[in-house]
Amino acid sequence: MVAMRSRRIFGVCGTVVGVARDRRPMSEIGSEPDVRFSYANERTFLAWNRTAMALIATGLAAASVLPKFSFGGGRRLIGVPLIALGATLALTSFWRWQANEIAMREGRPLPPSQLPRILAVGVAIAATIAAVVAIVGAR
Amino acid sequence: MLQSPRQSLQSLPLLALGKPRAPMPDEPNPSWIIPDDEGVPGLAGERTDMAWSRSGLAVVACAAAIAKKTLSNLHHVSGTTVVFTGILVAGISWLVGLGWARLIARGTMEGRTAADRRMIAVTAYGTVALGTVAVVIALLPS
Repeated sequence: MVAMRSRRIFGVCGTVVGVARDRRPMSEIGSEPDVRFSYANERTFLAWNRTAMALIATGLAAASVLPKFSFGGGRRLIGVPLIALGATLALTSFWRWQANEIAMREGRPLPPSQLPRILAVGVAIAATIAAVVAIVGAR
Repeated sequence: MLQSPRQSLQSLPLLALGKPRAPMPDEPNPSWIIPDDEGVPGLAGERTDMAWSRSGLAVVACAAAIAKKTLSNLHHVSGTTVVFTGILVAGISWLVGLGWARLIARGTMEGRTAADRRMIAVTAYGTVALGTVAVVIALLPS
């Protein structure tokens, strides 16, 4: 069970890293897809990128605007995970765009996306940390 | 014959929640179908242009948040300097973010056929750099 799960995790990471290392020019891969699909892929990337920037801005705001907690570093504890999540999303969204573009050019189905899972888990963790800090650190 | 309140509610088309709905047509509405011979990106290009503009504005907002945090750490700086630096940073962000977005939009209108990998990579790595700067600033002692 553990071996299967780790194989799956490494498979997903391997796919992502493999695609990220594919440095061939796009024009050499497959054939030109319908431009509207490329635009849709680009807009999806931009939407993920804006989500990443929103997370970074929110994290920074949490680290500077929130009132101080009863223990040191409480605001950073809330803000830094959000910023880190934003940076991770930005990087992953590029890999995702690239994987989609290559799949479309090669006429393959689009690969499954891990981004919604990363975002959902990350936001849930950040929210849990924020709730704990708010309860424990309330003055 | 008098209708019960429930019956009279159900007789209204908008409120007839419990009634079976009309089946969906097998064939899609012809107005939804984009003809195959329509090679021009048209509305898709316009939406992409707007998406780049929104991303430019997001860069401005993010840079403004970083500037606010950075300036709030400098207690010895006068209010006028803070305001002028803020305006300067906002202006530079505007030029870099929105200007970049407009440049790409112009490319879209001239018939760019596919997204450039370098352009996407610069945008993604730029956001990662912004995040790294934000982490450093957030960890600075206030």
